[in-house]
Amino acid sequence: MRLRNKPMIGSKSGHFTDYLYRSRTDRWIMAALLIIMSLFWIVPILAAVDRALVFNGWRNFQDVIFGDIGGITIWRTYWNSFVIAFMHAGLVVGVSSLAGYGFAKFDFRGKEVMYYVTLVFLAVPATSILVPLFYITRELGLRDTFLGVALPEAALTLPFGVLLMRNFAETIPNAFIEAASIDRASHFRIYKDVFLPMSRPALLSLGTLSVMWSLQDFLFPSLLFTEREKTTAAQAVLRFKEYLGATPDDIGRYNASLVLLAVPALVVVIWGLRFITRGLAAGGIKE
Amino acid sequence: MATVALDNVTKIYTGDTPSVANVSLTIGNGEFLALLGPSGCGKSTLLRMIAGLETVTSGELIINDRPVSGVHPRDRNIAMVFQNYALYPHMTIRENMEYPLKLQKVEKKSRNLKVEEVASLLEIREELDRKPDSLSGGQRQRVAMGRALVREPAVFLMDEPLSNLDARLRIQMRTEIVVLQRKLGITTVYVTHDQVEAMTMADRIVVINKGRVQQIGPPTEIYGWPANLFVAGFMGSPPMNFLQPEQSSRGVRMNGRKTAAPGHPDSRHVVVGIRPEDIHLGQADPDELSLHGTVAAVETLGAETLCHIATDVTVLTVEAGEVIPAAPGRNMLVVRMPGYRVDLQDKPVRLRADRNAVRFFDAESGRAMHLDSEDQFGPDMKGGLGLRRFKQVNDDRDGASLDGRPTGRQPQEKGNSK
Ligand SMILES: Nc1ncnc2c1ncn2[C@@H]1O[C@H](COP(=O)(O)OP(=O)(O)OP(=O)(O)O)[C@@H](O)[C@H]1O
Ligand SMILES: [Mg+2]
Repeated sequence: MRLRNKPMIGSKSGHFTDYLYRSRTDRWIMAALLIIMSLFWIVPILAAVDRALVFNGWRNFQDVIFGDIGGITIWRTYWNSFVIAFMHAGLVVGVSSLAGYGFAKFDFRGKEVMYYVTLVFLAVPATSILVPLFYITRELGLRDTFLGVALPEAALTLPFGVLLMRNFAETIPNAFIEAASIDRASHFRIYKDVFLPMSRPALLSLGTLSVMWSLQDFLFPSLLFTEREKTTAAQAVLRFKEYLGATPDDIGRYNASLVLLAVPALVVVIWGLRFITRGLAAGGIKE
Repeated sequence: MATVALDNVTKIYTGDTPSVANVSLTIGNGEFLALLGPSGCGKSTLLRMIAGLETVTSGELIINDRPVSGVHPRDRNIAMVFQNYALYPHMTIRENMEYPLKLQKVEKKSRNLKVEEVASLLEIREELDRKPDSLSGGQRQRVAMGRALVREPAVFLMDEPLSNLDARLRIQMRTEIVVLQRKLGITTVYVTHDQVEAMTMADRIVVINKGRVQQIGPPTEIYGWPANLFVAGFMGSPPMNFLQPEQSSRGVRMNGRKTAAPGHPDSRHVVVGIRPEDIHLGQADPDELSLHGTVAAVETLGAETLCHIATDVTVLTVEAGEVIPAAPGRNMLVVRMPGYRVDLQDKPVRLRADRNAVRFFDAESGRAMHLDSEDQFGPDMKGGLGLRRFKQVNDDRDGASLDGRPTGRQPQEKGNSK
């Protein structure tokens, strides 16, 4: 949006040329690269759908949708996944917005140090905290609970959330907060009545990303769930494999389940894409 | 209803150059006070200290006889209109305006009443259910005022509230604000860098430069009797002409004619100041000052003309407190005259100026000499006699205007047009 409003550099008079890639050859090369790259994503998906149709065709999908596999339905795994995903998103959005507001609009000692320490945790890989996490959740009695998975996930997402929310909060002019403060609003009221509504684009974007990332999480559910009923969609990929054998029927069904298990995350992404792009681009808004 | 007093208020952000230095002033109940000065002079900082948005480094701030330096903004009973209005974009106009009342836990019914009342006053009733981004600049400005007014604050603070409006709307709104302020009688501090705004709106103007108060007084006094070279050069567009007189033990002379310079000026260098509208075409009477030159450039503004006249007296410019003579051949006087006078281009002209219209400044300190003189020269600051005299002169000659508009208040104008 903003780029397009700028005057075109190097455009011939009256000729609407692209801002960055001016020459025709450049554009051909670019298009070719994009097509090749998109094949990397499209081919596996097509292959999965294709393999899901072997032997019994669409019946494979029917079986997976209406039956259960090893004592758990695919619907149940969807439900589990979404409960965790929304818990995770709620935690991330809640804590990040508070932290973002605080980091952007308050001055306190050690602020920048705290901020950078938070950001350093962006670099911590999930695998490196698996073992302590295993014991901590047991001590807290969180093993085999949804919260037990959502919490560690949130811990890993939070640095990004804080980064995003602080950047966004910095773009909100102080005058809004000062105006509310002169009008006798407490800090909590300002956060609730002014900051949160004005941060909507960023919050939606962060929320959508959080749901998406949690839906894709395979590691934590696998580690922390022992009960079969808790199986999440991402985890089911493996669990279903244990139950479905090498018979032609089962192979078809397994491949069908793989396609279906990917659906929730896809739906979230397609539905949430506008929020994501809007929120991440919102850093440059004026007024 | 409130008075505000500042006692030696100083603000230092970082380092040791203060952004606001030792400001002392008292704002009377119901007074409209304008803080005027160039960009970066500390006007906003001063206003924000009164609001409580900035801490006071030293000195004391007193609202209604209560020291408020440590008091949170919300407990000062002030309202503020921001330069960009700061209307909450997610709330309707009604919600914006009732928000301060909501915070005070006023119940819904009286909230609605109050909002409707203020909205009618500001003529924005139709807009109540719209969102700020669908309003025009002028309407937003009114909503911002409305939001500040619903609470009936003791003090009303405004930071360049008109600077985002186009010229036309600015003129209209400045009248409306004055009328409203008169009607409600709320003590108001108004920040602006626009001297026309300050002149037309304020009861008193505080001229600030580099964080220091240069002069405090009613608009006519600031314009007519600037306290120093900075004020003289800042007020008026084009500003006052500064000239270098001939000085001897017999007095201060311009082109051989004795001026009315006060005191015993032979001991120090004097700068003579004459406003462009105080110089007239024509042969000088014996008791008037006489100048002459050639019209080098003519700017026609419609109702009046600005002539840049090359002259042989030495014209001075004031830059960063230094008085600098113009290079030889670049001595340009600016003269404002009524009418459309392109015919004067390149003509030699004779000029005259009333001796009473001439102001004198100490070239060293920049200070106006009437402030130090013992005799009857200059306005009587205590009795206001001189001021009244000046006002009369000002009204009579009909020329002491900024940008062609009369310098007095003009609320009646609006009343009549209604
Ligand atoms: N938060 C701050 N931190 C450090 N210095 C500041 C801060 N705010 C203002 N200043 C400095 O204080 C001085 C006065 O600033 P202020 O904003 O009060 O000027 P102003 O008169 O309102 O100018 P303008 O007409 O441009 O708004 C400036 O030199 C500015 O750089
Ligand atoms: Mg300012």
